[in-house]
Amino acid sequence: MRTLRRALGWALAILCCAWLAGARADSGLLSDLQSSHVKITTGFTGQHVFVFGSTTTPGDIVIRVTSPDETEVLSRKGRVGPFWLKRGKLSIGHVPGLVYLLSNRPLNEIADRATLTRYGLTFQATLATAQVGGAPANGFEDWQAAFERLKRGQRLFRKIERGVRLEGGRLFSADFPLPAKLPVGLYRLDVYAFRNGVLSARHEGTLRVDEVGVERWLSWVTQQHAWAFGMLFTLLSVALGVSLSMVLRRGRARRS
Amino acid sequence: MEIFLPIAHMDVNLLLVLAFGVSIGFLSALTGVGGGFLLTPLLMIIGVPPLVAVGTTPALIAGSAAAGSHSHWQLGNMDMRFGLALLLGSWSTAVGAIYATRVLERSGHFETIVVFAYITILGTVGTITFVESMRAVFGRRAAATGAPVETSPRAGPLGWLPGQIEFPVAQRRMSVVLPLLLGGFVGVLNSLGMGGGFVAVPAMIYLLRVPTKVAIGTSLLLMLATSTVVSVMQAGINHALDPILALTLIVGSALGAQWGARMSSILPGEKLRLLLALILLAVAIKFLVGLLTTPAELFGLTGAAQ
Repeated sequence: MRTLRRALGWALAILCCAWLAGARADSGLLSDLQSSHVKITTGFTGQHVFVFGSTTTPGDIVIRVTSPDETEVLSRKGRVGPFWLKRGKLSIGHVPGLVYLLSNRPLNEIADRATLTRYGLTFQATLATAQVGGAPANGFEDWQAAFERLKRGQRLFRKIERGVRLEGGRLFSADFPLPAKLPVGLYRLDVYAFRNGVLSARHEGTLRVDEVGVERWLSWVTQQHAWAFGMLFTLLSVALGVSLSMVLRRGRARRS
Repeated sequence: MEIFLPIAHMDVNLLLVLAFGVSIGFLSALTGVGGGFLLTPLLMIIGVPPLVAVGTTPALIAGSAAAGSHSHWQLGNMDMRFGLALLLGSWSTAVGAIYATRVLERSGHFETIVVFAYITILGTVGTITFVESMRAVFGRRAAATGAPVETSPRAGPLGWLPGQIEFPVAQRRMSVVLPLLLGGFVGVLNSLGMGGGFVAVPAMIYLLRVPTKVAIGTSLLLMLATSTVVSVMQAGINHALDPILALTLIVGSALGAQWGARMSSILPGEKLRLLLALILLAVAIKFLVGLLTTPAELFGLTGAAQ
């Protein structure tokens, strides 16, 4: 199934690239998505995103996927008597909730660290622009390492080296999985082409991640009409509890 | 079979949550205790945020209490005057506790408070149930295993308290302060997702000397009315009521309750209470060990703005 999807993706990629190349041949680097909308439904368990494109100059390709910025709270446990309890916290804002770095080979082989940092192609570079609430002290001195480790654990920060496939030096594609729990909003998809360690072209795209259908409605109603939702849902729970009990009791009485 | 929870913002196994509901309904029907105080920690163990676990359980308690209240109301086992005094107490403290929840959640201390509260409550209830069921299993029953037969309309040692009122169905005359205090304690427990029936029923029977049937009927009324208000407030103030999680649990619990009711005549009650005690103690020990052992990861991330 995955092979079939990939083959279809490639066919689509070649057709689209031919069209895109004809239309905007001057940009040097073009990319697109097989589907630019990730729809989160109740049954959402993650989704594969297929990116494809073409470049006029053969070289290396790096794709950076970032979700909208968020503010998160990093807490640290410490010993209080015999117990391990939360002892401190640090608010960290202006950091994308999700950062994926995909490349056709290890990033340190594509360009030097300074170049990668300049274009935000390391997690450290992403965290360097974060807005930290308060002075990082009392165990938070190396908060970046802890933040990155936790984000990697949640599969929200990922480095997928060899995640980009090159075909004949001009065409490329990448197929990466998004996790089930992911931030919503308009994601940025930045594609960088490197030649001999130097940026030769760059292309920007977007990917929309949204809750849809019942999921979207539930999210809206529970946030925007919280009191009305609370009252109606609690009444529904009471009615459901009574009716299920009555129906099942009758069924039991009929069987016995 | 994974399902996405819109408020908890996470995937859970539908069958696992359904199994939790079935187990809680089954245990409730067999042992007579609500199960909210077991459900909330189970949800926390599988990764549901503490606030969502605490905020969703009251909807389930309201649903199951409504089912029981209906039949007890028809049988005339509810003392409305007594129930109203209890409710005034529970509503007052529940409102305060839910606002306190909001403050604690924002300060990052809510999880710690909940874990300590659960260790204390589960440990205490588990130990009492364990001792009582061990006595019953090994034939050394306590002198008073049933409801104390009490016909005197006077309350004994606390007769000096102000506001003495006659409670006709409960056949008691006592100070209104007592049900207000008991209701107040139940309100705090309910807003922590624990229900509170497991405290209200024995307190009414053994401390306030209310007949068993009236204690159970009035406790169900208390659970229904308190959980309803707490559930609405958890949704309105804390946005913590997850509808998908609650619906799955309600359906599971209704199925489990029927199964439990059928099995209650077959399975020995003392051994089931012993099993319940062991489960409660196991959950309390799990939380306690989590607090005492050095965590593999000292840091945690919360509060992602969605």
